[in-house]
Amino acid sequence: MKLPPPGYMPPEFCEIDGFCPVEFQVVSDLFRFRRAVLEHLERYGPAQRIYDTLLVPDAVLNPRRIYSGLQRANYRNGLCYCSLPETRTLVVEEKKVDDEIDEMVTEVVAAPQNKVFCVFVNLTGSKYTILDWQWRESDRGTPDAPMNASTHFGRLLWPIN
Amino acid sequence: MADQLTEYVNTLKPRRFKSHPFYSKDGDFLTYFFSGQDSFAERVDDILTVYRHMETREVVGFKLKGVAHLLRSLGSFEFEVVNGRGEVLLSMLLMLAPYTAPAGSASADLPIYKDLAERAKSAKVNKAELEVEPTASAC
Repeated sequence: MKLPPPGYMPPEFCEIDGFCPVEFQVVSDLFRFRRAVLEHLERYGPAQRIYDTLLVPDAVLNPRRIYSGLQRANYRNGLCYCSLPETRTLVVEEKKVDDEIDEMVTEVVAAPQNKVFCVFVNLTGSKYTILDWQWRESDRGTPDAPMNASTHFGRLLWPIN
Repeated sequence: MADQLTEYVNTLKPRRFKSHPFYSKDGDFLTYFFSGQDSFAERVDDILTVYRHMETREVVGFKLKGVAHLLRSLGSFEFEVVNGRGEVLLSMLLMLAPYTAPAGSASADLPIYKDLAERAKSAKVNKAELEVEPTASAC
């Protein structure tokens, strides 16, 4: 069952000052990627990390779990959104175009088994900056939680027990 | 806006994978991949996360956290991590990071630091790229 994070209105995406390709908004909360991150991935890779960004909006819209506190100084208020996507876009082949450029052949495939998709964000001003996104091994007893979550994060914010 | 993110991603033209460090100013971490293969993350301790191949579990990259604090802590020992061209040597950062981390946050005796340092020994990042703010609060 997908549950909204605490305090959220039913989620919807909103337009923000016209076209702004690397920002998206969940009601009043603005989540943003820093463009430099995506440009670095475009230039150097891994390309798969670019395609995994497509899982980020659903992770913050429909999180299975939200943890607060990233167990790092200056990031004690950071959040980790955890989701269990059913599918993902996977790079299955890199076709050589020229010396530098490959054409990425992708397929929509089932998400990896026994993994949780985690999105790390930090509140900067009134916006949530997406720090990182990654797959983590899931806890054996709690498949929608990353392994060792109780020691890796401050506390569980959502769902509320 | 999710659609716009998709549109934006579709405009990107990923180039062939090339190992190159990236410093996240927002997250104060440095990532480095040895390989572009699909991976998952495994947290080693408070300052180090490794990326493992999704199938084989081989280490394909790492994320070193608290780089600003690390560079500040090294202070006058900067000459040991920065070469004559103002480049920070990732291998030296990895070897020294556990010793400058807050007590209990890193495991200096873990061989993973040495292994990663060995694999990243040719990797450098221009110190200017790190854009470490001298006033940023310490870890």
